[in-house]
Amino acid sequence: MEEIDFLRLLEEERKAEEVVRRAENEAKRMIDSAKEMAKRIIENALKIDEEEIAKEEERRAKAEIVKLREELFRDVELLRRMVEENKQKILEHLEKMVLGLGD
Amino acid sequence: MSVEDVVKVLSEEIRKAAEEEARKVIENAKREVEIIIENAKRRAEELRRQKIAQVTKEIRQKLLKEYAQIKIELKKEYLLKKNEIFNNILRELREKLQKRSLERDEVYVKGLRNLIEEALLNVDSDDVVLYVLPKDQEIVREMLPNIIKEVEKKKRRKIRIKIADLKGNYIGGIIVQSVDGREYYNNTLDSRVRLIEEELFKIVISIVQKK
Repeated sequence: MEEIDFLRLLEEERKAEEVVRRAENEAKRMIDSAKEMAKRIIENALKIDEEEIAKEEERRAKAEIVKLREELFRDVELLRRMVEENKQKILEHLEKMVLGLGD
Repeated sequence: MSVEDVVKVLSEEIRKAAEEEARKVIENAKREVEIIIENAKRRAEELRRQKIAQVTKEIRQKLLKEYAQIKIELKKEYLLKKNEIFNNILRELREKLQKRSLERDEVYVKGLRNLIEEALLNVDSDDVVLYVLPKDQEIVREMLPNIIKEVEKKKRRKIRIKIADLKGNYIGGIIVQSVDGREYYNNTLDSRVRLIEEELFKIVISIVQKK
């Protein structure tokens, strides 16, 4: 009767273990590499251009000042024009108020 | 089946099982890699957002300090210009009143009468001193009987008035003071202009809107 070649089967088992071991190593390498990449992604995300932000904020603050100046001086100009156009009427009214002549 | 064939089949089974196991290991690793990268991207975005917000806040606070002074200066300048407009109105008003007071024109005389009556009605005392500018005393003496009559009618009692010199650099108007000195009603034009001054902006706006 022919005998089973156990040595060959053992060799096949060894090879199979090697295939799985290699796959596990490859998986570990892939995960380590991903972790490394994740670290770099976070590091890169945290690299922000503070100077650029400062410039942008400064530009915004300056624009706000310009806007405020325009608003205030437009307001004064409007008041000046309004007073100028109605000066006689205003003075007459105020005179009456001071002299107790109505209003 | 020969023994050789059995060994071949077993070997094939072992190989296939190993390959299947290896495939699963790699598949799982790929999934894990995807999750790691996805989480990292999310975390990175959140951290970046937080860092930008923090840096922006710090820069804004610094700028706020720098620009606060400029804003104060601008508002100061604005108020000065606005006050200049109102001061011009008040200056012209005083000039007009001064002219009327010096000329003692009809409007001034009518006004003076109203100011005296108003002051007398606002003082409870029936024994008062009426301070009048020397230049106005003659007119006041002329109009006083009628004013007294009017005030007594409104107060329903007699009043006694003594005229005295209003001293000081007043444009015009009068001051009424009770003889006991407890009551005092300043109805000089100067005092009335000062009252208007406090509300000038509102008054001017209401006049202009009356159109």
